[in-house]
Amino acid sequence: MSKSKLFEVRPFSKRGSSDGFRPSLNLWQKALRRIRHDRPTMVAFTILGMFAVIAFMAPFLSDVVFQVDPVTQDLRNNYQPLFSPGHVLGTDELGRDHLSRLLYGGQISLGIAILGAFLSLGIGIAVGVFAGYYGGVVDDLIMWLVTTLNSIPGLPLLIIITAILSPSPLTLVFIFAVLGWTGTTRLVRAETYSIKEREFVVSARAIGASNLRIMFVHIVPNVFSLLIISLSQAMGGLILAESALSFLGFGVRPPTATWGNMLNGALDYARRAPHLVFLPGLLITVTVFCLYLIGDGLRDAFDPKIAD
Amino acid sequence: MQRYIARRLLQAIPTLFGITLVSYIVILLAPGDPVSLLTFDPTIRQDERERLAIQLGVNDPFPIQYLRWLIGDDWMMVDTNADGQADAWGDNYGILRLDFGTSFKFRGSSPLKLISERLAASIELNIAVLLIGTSTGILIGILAAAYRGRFFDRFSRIFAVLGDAMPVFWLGLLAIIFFGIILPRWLEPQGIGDGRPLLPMGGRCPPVRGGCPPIYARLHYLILPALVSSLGPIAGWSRFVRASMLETINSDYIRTAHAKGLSKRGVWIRHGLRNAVIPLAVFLGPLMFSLLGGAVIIERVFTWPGVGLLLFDAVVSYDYPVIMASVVIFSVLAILGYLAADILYALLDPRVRF
Repeated sequence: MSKSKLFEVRPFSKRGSSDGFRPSLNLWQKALRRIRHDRPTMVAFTILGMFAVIAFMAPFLSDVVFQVDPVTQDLRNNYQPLFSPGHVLGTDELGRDHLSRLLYGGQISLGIAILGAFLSLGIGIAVGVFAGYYGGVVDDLIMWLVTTLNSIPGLPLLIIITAILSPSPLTLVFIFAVLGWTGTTRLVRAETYSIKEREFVVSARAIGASNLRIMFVHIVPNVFSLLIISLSQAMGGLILAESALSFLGFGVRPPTATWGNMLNGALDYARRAPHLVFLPGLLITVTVFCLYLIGDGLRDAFDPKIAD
Repeated sequence: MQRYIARRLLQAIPTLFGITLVSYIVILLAPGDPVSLLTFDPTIRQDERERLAIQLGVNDPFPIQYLRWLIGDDWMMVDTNADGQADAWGDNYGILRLDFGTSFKFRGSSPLKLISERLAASIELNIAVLLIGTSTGILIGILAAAYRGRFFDRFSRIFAVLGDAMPVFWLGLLAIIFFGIILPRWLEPQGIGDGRPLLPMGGRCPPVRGGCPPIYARLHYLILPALVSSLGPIAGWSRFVRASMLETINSDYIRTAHAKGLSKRGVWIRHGLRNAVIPLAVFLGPLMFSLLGGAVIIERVFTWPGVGLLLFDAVVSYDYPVIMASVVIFSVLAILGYLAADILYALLDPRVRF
């Protein structure tokens, strides 16, 4: 006689069946599961992933596969149309290969957006948690800086700074980060204010955790899910900002290509070579569109009010 | 209410101080100094150049320079003949008394005058954008909420994300290509037009003598720039109105109104819409803010002679007085815009009291 009649061990049931138990999921696991079932977000992820891979492989694709490079000028063969021999997507106003510039431009545009978003997120977290944790004069000073920076229209300020500094792509990342941290700071500061009164922070302090440890080990991880959402929005915003600056001629300077500065001269040749205008803008739009879709998807995925 | 406004204005003072500080520091980062810009003339001798530097005060320590710019120097003795001795009262009033110095590019004009001349054009465009953006956006938002989950709703939500994701200058370029080349070329064989663009591709006024005609005579100049820069506001409004409308429509008093047997349309418009649009007043502040900021782009694409184009030209030619004046004035306008939006909110919603 087997013992299993009395105590039966059942496997975890599949989702949807009513018997048995399943381990409860934490916030991140739930979010991940929701994302996987969110078709628009997954499509956006796929497209962005493809763009990233293609941009990463730009040197290989451009030099080896198509055998073109983004900076060689050929003034006698400028404004070549699409599908012309040797230049699949034609050439620009200086006779540089359009496809190659799009590939390399993607590297710079995506790179600036990713680095800039993470850097401004880092600054925003550090400053915000300090302001919220210490309060008082520190908080007043930081919030004064935040209000001031928020009151100056961003694009004009960016134009002025970039016109003055003529930045390299990396400098541009720093400029974006130095001007772009205020939103994160506000969010983190407000959260820190409420989290620092909670029991686990008090107990951490009771067992002798240092202020820095409380801030970055106990408080910051609790804000992360909020920040993940704003990260993809921030990247989208940075791509738009970079493209607007470069379009006006103040962002990344030629000969380095970005999707934005490929449109720098577009006002002059829009009538002559519309395809040169169309493609860089389309790539910007699709990229930012995907980033914003992912932002929306993440917001829903992390929203505890939405049931599975 | 008066107390609230007074408090808000007082709170704006440290912010304003910060803005002047930031804009001054930014200019200090600049390579090349105003002296070499003012004296871009090979016949000027070195000693004259140095005298000018002393007169302009660019060799003073930073706090002094900043103070002279901020509150003027008519209260202190300055060195006018470059002998190292302060010998006369200064003649700058400082930006707090609206003296932004003189433009480098347009010799002798004050930046304030240049900006106020251009402001009318920018306001004209912004009002058009506000009207188009607000009306269309609210309409789309209401319809999306009414047909929630249906095709129109899904479509309008995707459209809203797309509207945010599309660079406005690119949309402007596409509009120029379409209305400037493709449409006329297509219409000519149909016997409409003569192959030239039907709409002006830029500018604010027809090139005629005697200045700009009244606005009704040049509305067609406004169409393309206004439509193109309305896309962002339409996207923003429609998303905001949809959310606000859905929140309102699920509240108890709407259920009561339905239960009393009122017509569906009456409930939606009289009880729903009127309450749903109140929070939108808050949206006006940021919108004004972003319109001012975006003015540079749209005015550059369509050569619209507003403050944005003025700032662009000033930045290109390193016209520091105009640049700094623009930053300060844009920021003041933005602060006032936020304040106006909050006051409007309080006026519209009797539940909000200060």
